Amino acid sequence: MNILKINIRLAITLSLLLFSVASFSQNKFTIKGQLSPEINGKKVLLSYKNNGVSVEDSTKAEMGKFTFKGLIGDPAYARISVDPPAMTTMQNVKSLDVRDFFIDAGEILITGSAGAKTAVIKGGKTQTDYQRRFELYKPVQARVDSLNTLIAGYKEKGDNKAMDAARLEMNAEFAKTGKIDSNFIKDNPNSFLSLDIWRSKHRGTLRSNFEPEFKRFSSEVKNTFAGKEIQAKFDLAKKLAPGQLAPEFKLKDTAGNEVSLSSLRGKNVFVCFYAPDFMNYDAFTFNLGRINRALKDKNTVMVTVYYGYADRPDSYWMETINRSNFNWMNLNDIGGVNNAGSVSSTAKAYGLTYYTLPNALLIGEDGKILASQLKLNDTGLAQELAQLIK
Amino acid sequence: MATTIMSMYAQTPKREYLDVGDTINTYPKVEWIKGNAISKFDPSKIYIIDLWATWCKPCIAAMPHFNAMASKFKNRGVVFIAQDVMEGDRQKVLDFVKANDKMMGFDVAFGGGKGSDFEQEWIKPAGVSAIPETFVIKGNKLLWQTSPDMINEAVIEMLIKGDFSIEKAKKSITN
Repeated sequence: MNILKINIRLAITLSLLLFSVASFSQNKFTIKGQLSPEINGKKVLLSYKNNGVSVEDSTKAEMGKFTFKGLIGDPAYARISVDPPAMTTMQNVKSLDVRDFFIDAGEILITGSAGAKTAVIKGGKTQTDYQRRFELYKPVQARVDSLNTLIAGYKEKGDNKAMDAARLEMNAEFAKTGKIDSNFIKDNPNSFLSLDIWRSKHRGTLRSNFEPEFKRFSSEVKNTFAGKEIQAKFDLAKKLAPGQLAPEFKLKDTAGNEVSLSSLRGKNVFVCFYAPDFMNYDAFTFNLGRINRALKDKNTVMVTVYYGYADRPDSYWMETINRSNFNWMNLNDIGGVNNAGSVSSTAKAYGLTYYTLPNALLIGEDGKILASQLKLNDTGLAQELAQLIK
Repeated sequence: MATTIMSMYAQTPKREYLDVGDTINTYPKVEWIKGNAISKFDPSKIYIIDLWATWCKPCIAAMPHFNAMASKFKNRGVVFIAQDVMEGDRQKVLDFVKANDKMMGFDVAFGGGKGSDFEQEWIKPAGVSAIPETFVIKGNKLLWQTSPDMINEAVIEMLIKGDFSIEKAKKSITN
């Protein structure tokens, strides 16, 4: 009997997602495994995402034999682990018996005379494509492996020059994987795997100039759950393009008073939605200071809207404001974004998720957007925005 | 009025901010280890100041390009300065400059490590958190804070001609 477990963190949001998952058809899959008979009474762990929701399932192998059954929407990237340790560490990572593959609807066979690592996995179309891409990666992987050995040797000898050269070559090898992927996407517009690779490279805000690339996927691929999600992001980007009326929001300030965007009509508004403490956070706060200095004489209200993390108390908001020198209007939408995506109406209207934050817009005196999808790490942004306000 | 306030501001010992568009008259106190020492910016000249350190590999990788620009434009009123920052080992910097003399045909200054005048007057006010970073100054004004790969011939020609804007410069890079 399989015990279906869903990540605790995601269980909270599952109820929110249930509607959207359920509204897409779910298909049955069966995984049949036959590995070495020595794998007996050991735990086999399966993890995958069903239309964005993490699912974990486990069973026990008997004489190497195991079965999983479940439902999926889109083909799902999955990982199988045989006899996983309680915790993955740097020391045991190499000895893990894990294997990544794709679950398509229907039957998947995992067979081999040893563990999962070396097994042959036969499934549907996406798994076949995944295996094909793996073959394309092989020469690069071989070179990376040998470079790793070389670098370790150079390190021992203290040969910095040779080490730097090997590292440069390593970067060039990694760059090749990007080329392999973009060619794969181009050559396989009807593969869900192509969409999956493409989407992993566009996790943040989708800029409209990427839409022609997306349009090249087959209609079958575009009509998947993931495809529709991406299309919705493009549609949202159009609603947030310069010239459009900025969506209304009503949020609380530090004194607990509600402030609406429409109440600021007649003034330009620079609004930045953020969740604190990401990489280069200090450079980000400094740049907001620059923007504030550049816009302060231009009839502009500067607004930062805080999104928290589940593990931080709400008081972390005030700490963040003080530490970051945000001496302008501060509003919060705590709980508006969580690990599953946008929750509040403001987050939905502006397409805010942990992947797209921080996100800022410049809104004109008439409430229409002057600029969106701003590059907040660009030191020249303040000047560009100042020029947009007459 | 604004200019008066700004220039007064620049003379106060500690500058709070250094933003694009701000007036800048004086060069912080540094040790000039190669080329011509300056303490004040000449309003008739263009200054391209590259912040680097001996430990910063991308900075060193950008030097041949910086050198090529310097040899091409230094007789046309453009001053190229490689300003060493974020390290305190003076001898290490001197050794590096000596060893790479041919690659460094421009003025070189050593800023000193933590708490140095350059850090107080420039790095902190301009919000420099990573290097390389390049500053363009003309007519005693900070025109651009950017990265060394954004400085090409077309950009320098714009600066000389007087029709420079950040927008135009960025376009010349992407084209």
